[in-house]
Amino acid sequence: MKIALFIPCYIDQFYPQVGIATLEVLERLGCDVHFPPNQTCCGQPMANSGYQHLDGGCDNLIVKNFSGYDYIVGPSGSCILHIKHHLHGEDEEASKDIRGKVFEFTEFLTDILKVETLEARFPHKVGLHQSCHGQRGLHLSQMSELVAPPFSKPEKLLGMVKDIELIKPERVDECCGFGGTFCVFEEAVSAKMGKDRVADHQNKGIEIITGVDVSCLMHMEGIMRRQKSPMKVMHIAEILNSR
Amino acid sequence: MQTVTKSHAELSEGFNKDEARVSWHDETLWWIRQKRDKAAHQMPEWEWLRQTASGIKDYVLGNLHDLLELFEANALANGIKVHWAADAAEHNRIVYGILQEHGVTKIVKSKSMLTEECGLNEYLHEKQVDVVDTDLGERIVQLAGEVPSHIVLPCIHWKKEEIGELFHKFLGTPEGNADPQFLTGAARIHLREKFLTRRVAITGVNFAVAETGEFVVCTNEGNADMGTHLSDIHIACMGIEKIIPKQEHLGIFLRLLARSATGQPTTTYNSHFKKPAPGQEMHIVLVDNGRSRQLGRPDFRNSLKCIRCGACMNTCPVYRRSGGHSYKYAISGPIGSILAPNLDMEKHADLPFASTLCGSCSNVCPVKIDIHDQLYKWRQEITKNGHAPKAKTFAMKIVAAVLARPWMYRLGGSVARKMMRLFPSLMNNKSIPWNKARELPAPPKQSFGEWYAKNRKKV
Amino acid sequence: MSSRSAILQAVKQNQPTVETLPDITQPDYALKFGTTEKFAEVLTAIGGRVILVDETDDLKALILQVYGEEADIVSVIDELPFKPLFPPGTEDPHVLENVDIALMKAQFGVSENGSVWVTEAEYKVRAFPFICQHLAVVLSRNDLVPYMHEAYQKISGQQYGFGLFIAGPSKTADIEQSLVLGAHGPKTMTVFLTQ
Repeated sequence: MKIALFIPCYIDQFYPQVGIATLEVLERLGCDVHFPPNQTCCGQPMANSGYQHLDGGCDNLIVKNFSGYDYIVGPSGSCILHIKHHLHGEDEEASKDIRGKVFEFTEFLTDILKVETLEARFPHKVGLHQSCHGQRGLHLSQMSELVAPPFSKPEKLLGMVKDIELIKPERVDECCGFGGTFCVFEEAVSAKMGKDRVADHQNKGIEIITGVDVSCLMHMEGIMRRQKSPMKVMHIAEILNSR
Repeated sequence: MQTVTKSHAELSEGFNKDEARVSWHDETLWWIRQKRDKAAHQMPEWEWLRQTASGIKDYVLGNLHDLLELFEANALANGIKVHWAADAAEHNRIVYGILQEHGVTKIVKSKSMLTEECGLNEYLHEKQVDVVDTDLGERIVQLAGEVPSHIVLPCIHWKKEEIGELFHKFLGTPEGNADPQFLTGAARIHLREKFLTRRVAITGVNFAVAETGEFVVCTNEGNADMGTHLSDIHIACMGIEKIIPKQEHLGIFLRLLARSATGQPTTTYNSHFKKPAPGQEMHIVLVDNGRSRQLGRPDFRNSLKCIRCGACMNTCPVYRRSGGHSYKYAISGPIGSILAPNLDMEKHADLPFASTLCGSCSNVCPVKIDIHDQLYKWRQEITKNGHAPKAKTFAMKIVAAVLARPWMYRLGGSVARKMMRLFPSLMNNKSIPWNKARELPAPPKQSFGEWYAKNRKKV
Repeated sequence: MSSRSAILQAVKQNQPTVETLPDITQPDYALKFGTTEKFAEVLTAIGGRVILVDETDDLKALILQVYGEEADIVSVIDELPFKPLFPPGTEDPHVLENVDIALMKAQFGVSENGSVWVTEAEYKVRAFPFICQHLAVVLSRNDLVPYMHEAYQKISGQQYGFGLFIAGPSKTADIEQSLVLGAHGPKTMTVFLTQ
């Protein structure tokens, strides 16, 4: 089973530790992981801003770099969702093939590797932020809007971590307000949404906010650091990689 | 008519200046979302209801021509006069025409978002017709000289103390009295006089049944009924998409409407108007106003399934923190943002961007409109039609060009991080929008790609 | 071309092809409940009042017990006469503005939402259930259906000019979401649920 690692651009540039943790967890689970070095970005920043038609370059790079693998795994719900729904390179057949093989990190662990135990320990109060695209788009967990049986892939994995105390915020799946370029074009609302999420976690005594999308975490971390909050953010891969 | 120059972003920035008030507005609407959840979770068949309602509305869109003809034939046979209005202006002329014909200059009106969409109140005001909005929330905003900010909860943005002041000014209630029970009692007396003395009542239409030629009006207050049953002329105003095929379909929609809107099992009154009362005239105005055009847009026609419940507004984290007036259209929030660009793409180009595409709206919508997918698609449409700011297009082209070239991306990233490390004050200046409320992430010395090259070197 | 023709033509041109209507049969996993208990529970929760009437009760006496011996009741139920609907010589609904308690029958009730269905046969004059200060309704427990689905089966084919579901007293929460019973319609609604 040959796996290609897709590393979102902002993780590559600003949160390399998340990429490292993702790689290490996969390797420890026995995966043969490759990192195509010429990857750049999934194209979401343009597409979500109305410039889907400028995604050709990114799409072709993805097809070029990620063809020929059994699976493509990435630590980001929104990037993986974007590729799954919107990848249309010049080679449509190759694009279709990749769309069918692309997985977000936690769903890869639960659905493909079918992980039941993890050698991980993280003795902290952890709050799970449910990133919208992963949750409602990739169905990583049940959403509060629907009358349907509960489930959660990230929670299942976090439950395997020894000594962790998983705490839910009051509003279990409200959006953090990042939203890509929304965070600057609608700054006032974005900041208020982020502040409210941070406050919700803080009020529950949470020490570390985790989630499947570093974009959300980066936005909340920015607010927390401005407020000089003692809370921190960590991507779920980093927690699953803790010993 | 408010002249509109500010964008949603600018208006919501203004709204957010009073943080405590925004939190109050947000918490109030979130509470209503929770009431909806409570009602829905008591019904194991809730998702089946949504799916069925969605399927019925799909059929309506596919058969709208024949259903409209059938409705008209049955309504006429029932004694209802049927009018057709191509656009808002014609709708207003038709309504005024009926009033003129009967020499009426004072009317009562119950809630109708369609009349808001057409600007009926302003039009009639210019013609010196006195319109009293009888829904309590609408009367409040009317006295205040505003338009409703929410399609179901018109004055959700008003605090009771402010309403108390307004009633003191206009209804003579004691100064400082902000008791909802007392104020509602004062409004009851004030509006009862209007019901008893005015001879024309305008209502909206929640559902029009093609099979029977009847239409249903849903209220909690009973104001639509107090107006119509004491009037000589009832004028009902309706968007053409409000048709449903059969009477039995009301059994689906009336189970979803109030629960989605406010968490109630039903509105107090579900009034089925079929024939005029003896001696009364009943009119219905069927309005297009861009709906047939939207019907022809495969990506966006599902927006016409809307039953105007407002659930999408209550759940939208952006709406709750920006308020209905930031959208500058009679229908605000997520559904408004996919309806408005069809009417005027340039004027409403900002609305589909007033969203993080979180998807909550689509999942509370009782008729399963793919709202967040349509928001994404409208963004492409708006940009393609040249309504994006030039600076944004320029920036996006550069970003796309960099991201298409791995060497340029790697170099750009490395340089950016170096700049951030060497010149933190340059990066931290508050004119960069990110920095207003947030710190930038700490710039690492190595990217993941660089670390991998040093530590794994496999391809 | 008239607007009617223009609209219909545009609609015909632009509408998609959709041929099937979904089946509206209620799934069998929908909750089942005792219709009387559920009706009483829901109507009470939404601000109405339910009085259970046994066969042996004197309904008229019970009504006076509930509203007071001096209650000002206008009744349109032939078997339960109080004050008549109209004074002789007029049928103008405006004269009903001083009706205090309005008493009428309901055709049937719906348990899932605590509502009752009435048409001309029950209310006589359209304004009657709205213009009063208090509404009293007589309904048999045997005329309760669980869901709106069954309600519309009963309504199917009825020839009314105006029919409505009434669920409790009129209400509003427009002032800071504070629920107030008694907006423009009656301030209270009481259902006398007979056997």
